[in-house]
Formats: sequence, structure tokens, C-alpha cells
Amino acid sequence: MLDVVSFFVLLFYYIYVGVSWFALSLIQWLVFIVFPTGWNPYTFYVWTAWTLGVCGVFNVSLGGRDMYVKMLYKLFEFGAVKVERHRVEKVIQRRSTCVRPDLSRLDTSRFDAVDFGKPNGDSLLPRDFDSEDEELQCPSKEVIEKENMQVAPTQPLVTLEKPVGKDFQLNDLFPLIKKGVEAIVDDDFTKRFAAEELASWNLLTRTNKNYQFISWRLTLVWAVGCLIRYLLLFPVRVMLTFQAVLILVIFGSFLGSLQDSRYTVRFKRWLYSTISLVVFRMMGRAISATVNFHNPEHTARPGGICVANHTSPIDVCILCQNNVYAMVGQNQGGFLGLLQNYLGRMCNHIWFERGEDKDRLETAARMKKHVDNPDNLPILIFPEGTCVNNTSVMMFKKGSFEVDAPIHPCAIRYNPAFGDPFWDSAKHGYIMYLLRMMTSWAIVADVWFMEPIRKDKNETSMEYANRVRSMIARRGGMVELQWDGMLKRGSPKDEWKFYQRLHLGKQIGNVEDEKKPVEVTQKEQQNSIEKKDHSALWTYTPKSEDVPTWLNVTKPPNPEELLKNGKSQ
Amino acid sequence: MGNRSSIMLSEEEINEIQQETGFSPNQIERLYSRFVNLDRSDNGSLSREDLLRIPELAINPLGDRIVHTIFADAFDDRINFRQFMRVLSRFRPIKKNKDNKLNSREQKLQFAFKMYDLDDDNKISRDELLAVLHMMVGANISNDQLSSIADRTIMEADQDGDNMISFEEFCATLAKTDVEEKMSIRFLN
Repeated sequence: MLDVVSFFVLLFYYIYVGVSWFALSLIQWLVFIVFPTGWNPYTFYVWTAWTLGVCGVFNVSLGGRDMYVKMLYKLFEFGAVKVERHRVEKVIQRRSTCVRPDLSRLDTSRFDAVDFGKPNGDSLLPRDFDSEDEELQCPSKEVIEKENMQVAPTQPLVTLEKPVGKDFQLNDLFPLIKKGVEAIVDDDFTKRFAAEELASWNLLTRTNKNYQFISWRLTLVWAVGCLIRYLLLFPVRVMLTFQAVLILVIFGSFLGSLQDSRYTVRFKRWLYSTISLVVFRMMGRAISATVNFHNPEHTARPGGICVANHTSPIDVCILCQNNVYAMVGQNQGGFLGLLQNYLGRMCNHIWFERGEDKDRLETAARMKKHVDNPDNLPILIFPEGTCVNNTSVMMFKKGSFEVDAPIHPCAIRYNPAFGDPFWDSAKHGYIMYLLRMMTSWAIVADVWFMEPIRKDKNETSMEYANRVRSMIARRGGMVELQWDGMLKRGSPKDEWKFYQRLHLGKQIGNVEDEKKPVEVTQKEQQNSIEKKDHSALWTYTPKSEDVPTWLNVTKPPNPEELLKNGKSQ
Repeated sequence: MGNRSSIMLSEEEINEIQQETGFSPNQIERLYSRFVNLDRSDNGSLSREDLLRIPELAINPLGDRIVHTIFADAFDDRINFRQFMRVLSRFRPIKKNKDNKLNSREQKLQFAFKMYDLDDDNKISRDELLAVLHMMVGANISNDQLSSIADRTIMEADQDGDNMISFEEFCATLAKTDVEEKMSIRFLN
């Protein structure tokens, strides 16, 4: 009992302190507009934060952010040239060659502001320099094309090279070993959950793994940047976030206490739309979000579902800059949970628990109900179900594609040079992540809205999900991966070895077929390499009872039958 | 923010690794960032689980065995970056005019041999071969057929009649195989 009382006392105390700070600083700001005297750091922060906040409320842009971003481009260009020069110089020094290359002739066109941030393999070396020298070349940004690349749980199957009629040889292990070690050196899944590789240093300490002294001027620029980010931008950004959260809390509790009735529904919806726009615009300013919306005429309308790729919770903030959504998402704890709680009081968002099957079914049912009512806001969902580092789009969960509603695909692509927006939830909590966002330069993103599409008649929901995913990946210039992003939380199942084993078993066991003419056998082998896409079979099923019974087989089943079974599920 | 991945290799370390393994500094830095990336617990060494978390490796029928072989001479079931590089350097392509200590044909064959040699006695017995075969094909081939395959393979490779395959016999059997190509992977510069 005492616990409950003291909890509420504390809660009221915090709300009281928060609200009075909010009101006081607002008054201070208003007074300051009339009598601009007595500058000190605190008034500066309050003044800036409130000016930006009010700009957010009325959606006015003073043009500061655009200028800031343009200036940053110039700055990065400068840094990139310095770092590259230093690298080349270092290699040459190490080898103590007498001939120093003429560094003034470095080709710096790579760092032109236009395509900064896009990987480019060209080197900064003088043109007539020994280009065969691998050490001097810029580390290449290319990716090893693995043979027969089909990145999916159905990996390209290893086929043994063997003379017809021979079953097993000791060297049949080699292709499997090679493939395994290749996966250790580089694989397409793991690297999607780490910060994206940058084309060049963006003057943040955290992205420069080998920070070292390069030149006085660069160090000076970096130090000034640090001061600006931590002393000028950061406090203002924190204040702005506070204001936004307070507005959310105040109106959230007010709207939550309002009963749903015939008369209030419209008012509630109007007020929520306004508050959501205001709050997210203020939060957007708190991370200096500069968003470029393409084709805004295709933004989702009531009755539709907006489907986007997922990098971090900031995605929501980015998309809510110009539209209001009802969100579908995982229930979170901590600060994010607080936001979800108050958002949930104002509007019918759908929060669920990821692991629970019952919740999953219920969510689908609620989504169906939601889109049927034209009074409801459009739904926003991230069907990847997990944050990926924005270089690829992983498998889409098919749940949201079973609902009969138009889907508005939407691709979000961040420019990693200004700040890496990927939330590595295993390493950082949400508050820590927000701090990193607020102390980096800015969040610069491109958002593409695409025409709404519907499911074809003879399309399974998995095929439909894949179609939407390829649209998003193509538009945003990201790699499309068949893997389920949830694999980052657990290891893949043993059953997934099944196909490879079946394939190997056929090759090793099928010696009885040696009476067939050689050409026929070879053709059969060819056909088995060009397997159809089995991705529909390999949707990740976290519960053991979900595993189809045919996977626990003891005798080799017929693959055609397998395909059929998998599709019908 | 002071996470451990910001601790970088020093110049000397890169030089030493370059001397030992023959990778270029760029390759070493690239592989180091891969190493840090795989090291989820952030303590400068990898465990078996860290490697098996790579889905592509985990669905390889021999994934467990490959990881085991990599950890064969690991102390404490963890490998540090130097050991990691030593293992990987075996898979470097052989270059004609350069010194190939760690990526010689023999080293490559040694790795493959260890894959079969489950109990580390430098001999492949019939049971070991059978176990590896079973890993490869699962339940898709009957045990009888697998045993006959194992018997025949041992018989073909065995020269001294002890029903085991020693490393020398293993090399002799694979004399005609292009090990250099089959056990080499391309490392990005």
C-alpha cells in the first residue's frame, strides 16, 4: 500500500516539476522575445529550443538545417581528402621509397559533394602511379560475388564434382569447407547488423576505428565539431525532446481520460493527428532530421497499410513528419515503452508481444478490423520485425500481407555519413542510442512513397510479401536478402541443413544410376542445381510445434511433395 | 563512446601479422573489423557460438566440424585475432613468386585431414569416416550403404593395411586433386 502511495507521490512530483519547468521556460521565451537582455548559456538553450519547438508546431522551416547539412558536405569533403592523403603517404613512408609521389596531383573528384557517401572504388592515387601495387590501392568497397549467389536460407547447394559412377571420395569435403570458411570471412547476414561502412571519415570519433593524428587542421576541425555537437547542439536537442515528450504526456493523459463516444471520436482523431504531427516534428528537429520526401502524393490514406523497411525507431519519427499513422509494433520497455504508452492512450495503435503466438493471431485480427473502418488512420508497419543497418531489406513477415487492404510500399534510405541511424539493440539501450543520435551531426534521409498495390488473385501472401520487398529494395537501392532478420537473436535451426544434406545424399547415394547414359546424369545434376526458389518453405518458425512434421523425417522424402506441402501451409 | 571496438591494431601488430600470414595491411584491417563484428561479447576473442551465429555457416552440414577444427589448438575454447588470422591464412591462394608458409598445399591438406580426424590421433578410422559421412547426408542414405561407402574408401586409401588412413596415405590419395584451387578463397583487398 505504502509503495503505491509513494509511487504516485513521486509520479505527481515529477509531472509537477516537468510541467512547471515547461511552463516557466515557455514564459521565459515569450518574455525574451520582447526584452532580449541578459544572455547566458541557459537562456540561449531555452530560447533556441523553444524557437525550434514553435517552428515545429507550425511546421515552419527557417532554412537552418539545409544550410547546416550543406556545410557538413563541404566539411566531410575536406576531411576525406586529408585522410586519403595521409593513408597514401603512410604506405610510402613505410616502404621508405625515395621517390615521393606528387600529392598535389591527387584526384579528389571522388569526394565531390554530389555523390559523397556512396561507395566508390576509385583510388585517390595519381593516375600514373603503379596501379598494380595492391597495398597502395584504396581498400576496395566491392563485395565478393559468391558463385551461384542466391542469398537465402536456401543457400546455393554445394554440388560435388565427381566422375559419374563414383560415390564418395575423400576430397568431397573440400567444397563444403571452402564454403564454410568463406562464410566466416564474409557473409551477407551478420554484416547487416553492424554500422554501415563509410566511404570516408565523417569526423566523428566513434566511426574512426583507428583514430590517429593526421594533420593539425583536421584535428582542429574535429575538435571544433566536437564542441559544437556537445555544447551547442546537444543541450538544445535534449530540451526539444523534453518539450515534445511533455506535450505528448500532457495531451496523452487528457485524451486517454476522454471517453469514446459518438461525439468525441472525430474530435479525438483530429486532436491526435495534430499532436502527433507536432510531437514528431519537434522530435525530428531534435535530431536535425532533414528528410527528402519523393512522391508525397502516394502517402498512405485511411484504410491502407504503409509498409516500410526498418532501421531504428527513428523511422517512425521520419515518416510521421508529414502524415499520421496508427502503428503496429513490438511492445518495448523503458523510455520507448513510455512513448508507446502515451501514444496508445490517444489512438488505437496495436502493440504486441513478439514471441507469443496468441498475440500474433490477435494482431492480425485487429489489423483486419482496423482497416475495415474508414474512420481509422492508416496503419504503419515494419514487416521485417527487426532493425537492419539500412543496406539491405530482409525477409518480410507475411502477417500484414494477409489483410485485404491496399499496401503503400515506402523505402527509407539514410545517409550514413551524417550519423549512423542503425539501432543495435543488443549493444545499446534506447536512451544510449538517442544520445548517440543527438550527438552526431544530423539525420539525413530520403523517403520514397510508391503507388499502392494489392494482392494478385493467384498469389500467396509470401509471394506478395516478396514482391513488396523487392519494390522497396529496388527503390531505396538496398540489397534484398531472403534471411529472416530475427535470426540475429537466435541461431538457425538444425533442420535447415536438410536441403543440403538431401542434395549431397542424392549425389553420394545414387551410384545405382550408373547404367544411365552419362549425358542424362549430367543433365539431372544441372537441373538439381537450378532449384526453384524454396523461400516459401523456410519462413522462420520460432516455436517447435510450428515445425512441419515433414521436417522430422527419417527417410528421404520426395522434394516435389515437399514443395507442395510448404506452399499450402 | 568507449566501446572496445575502437581499440585498433597498432602498426607493429599489423606488421607482425603481415610477416607471419602474408595478408596485406588492408586485408588485415578488413578482417579485423570482421573479427570485432563477430565478437558479440566484446572481449577480444571469439567463441564457438560467435562463429556458429553466422547463419550461412550454421546451415552448412559440416559447420560444427569446421568450427571445431578452427578451435583445435585454441586455449580455453576461444581464439584471439592472431589465431583467427593464422587459420584464415591457410586459405590464401598460393602465389608463385612469394613465400607460402602457412598456405602451402600441405597445410591445406592438414586442415581437411583434421576435419575427418575426430579424436585427434592423426589417423582416420572407419568410424570417424562414417560419422563425417553421416554429418554430410543426414538420414538420407541408409546406414548400410554408408558403411559400405566408408569401407570402400578406407580400402582404397589404406596402404599399410591397418584399416586406418594416416596423413601420408591421405595426401597420396589426393595427389591428383587440385587442392590449391579447391581450398583457396579470395580475400578482398
